[in-house]
Amino acid sequence: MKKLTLVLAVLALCLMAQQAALAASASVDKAEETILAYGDADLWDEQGNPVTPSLDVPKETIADPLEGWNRVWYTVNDKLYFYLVKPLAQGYGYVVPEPARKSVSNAVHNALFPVRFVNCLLQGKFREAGVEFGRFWVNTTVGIGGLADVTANDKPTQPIGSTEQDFGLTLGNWGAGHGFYLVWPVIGPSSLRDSVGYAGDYYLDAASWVHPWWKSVAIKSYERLNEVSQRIGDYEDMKAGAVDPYSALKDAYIQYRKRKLAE
Amino acid sequence: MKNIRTTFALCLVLLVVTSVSAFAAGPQETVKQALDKAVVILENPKYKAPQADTKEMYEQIRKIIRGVFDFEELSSRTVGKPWVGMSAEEREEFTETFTQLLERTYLRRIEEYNNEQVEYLKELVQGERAMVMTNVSHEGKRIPVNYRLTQTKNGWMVYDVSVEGVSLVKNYRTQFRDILQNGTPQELLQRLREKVAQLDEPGTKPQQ
Repeated sequence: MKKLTLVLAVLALCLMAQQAALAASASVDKAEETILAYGDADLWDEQGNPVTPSLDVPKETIADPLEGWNRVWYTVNDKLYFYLVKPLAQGYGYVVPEPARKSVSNAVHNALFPVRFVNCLLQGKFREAGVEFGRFWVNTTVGIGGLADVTANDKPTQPIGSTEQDFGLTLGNWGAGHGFYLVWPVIGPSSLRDSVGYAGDYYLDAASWVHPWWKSVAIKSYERLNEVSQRIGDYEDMKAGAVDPYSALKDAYIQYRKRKLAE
Repeated sequence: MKNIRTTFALCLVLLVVTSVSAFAAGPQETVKQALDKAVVILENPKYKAPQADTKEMYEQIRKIIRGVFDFEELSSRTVGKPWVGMSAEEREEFTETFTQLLERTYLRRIEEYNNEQVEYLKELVQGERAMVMTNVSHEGKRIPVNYRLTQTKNGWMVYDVSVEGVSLVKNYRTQFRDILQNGTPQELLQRLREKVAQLDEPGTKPQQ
């Protein structure tokens, strides 16, 4: 009996000591401690994989040697959005109901199948390419030219990576870095690598093959308008909360692409 | 007899000590509880009427957010190294101003809540830090939303949220770094104050 009491007493003391130690460590300025101990890096990336801070921190920033030029186009695009694109998209959204716009989005996504398929293959992601191929055929036939995304809730038999691949991501997958940040008129944020990717994917988009050129531009503009009509408010919110919207958009683009590359 | 009594007392102590740690919610549970509480408020028919007093709703949501977010940790991480050189008063003021900025920006989005479903995918814990990975279903699309947490004396608290891979802390850190490179933390604080005042102005459209 005495022994048991002793063991229990020791156990209780240990536990209490641990609690006290926890309380004491919490009273030290924790934020400062973390910054000094780990820098400000995270333990996991967005996929939940552990990161090595020393290796991953520099990748989060991007060179911006053309900042002056980029800021000019950022401002132009910003005005273009608020004074032209947004009013048009709102008018369009008012006339065309949401389900119809969703169907157009589905059809556009379906028509861009070659981009995803080819880039999955170029990255050696054969299973993903196969899934894309299957989805394309089912959506084109059963989904009437891709207007309905009938495969949206079908999960592949084995877990696969993202099939949303483009040539910019393929280049990244092959080891190319972003190079530097670039803002294009109308198109918006990009990087040297992703601009090359954009040009590569251009030829895999059926809308690029339409003649004469202005019909092709008209189709692409309409596709863009349809997309924007479903995303009104996103850019506004980002801008409302940003201290420096240019820098916020640049960072959001880089972080977004980083996640895509890892998917 | 005395021994039995001592043993009993010790057992009680043990029970209390262990149950305290068992009852404190884990990272995922912390996030889930806060989100569930917010959903209950948002779905309250009282606030759904066209003439509803949304002020009270916002106040309740704000309370939940302040209870689960560690805004000091969040602020320190967005500022980074210069935080170490700031005085306690400066830090407090910075935290409060930044919190106001975030509340004014993101609380308006809450009205867009439309029965979105949250799917909890994974909970990662290492020491005093954790990440909770979720998917939010929005208009047929699954949007990945990750929460980063740290253990405080008030339990697990969120200090960063990332949506589609874009982390709030990192996004502000990039903006703040540019400002801090050419200016002092006081100047940054001034910019934040101006931004909050701008968002408070009635009738203005902050986006233009």
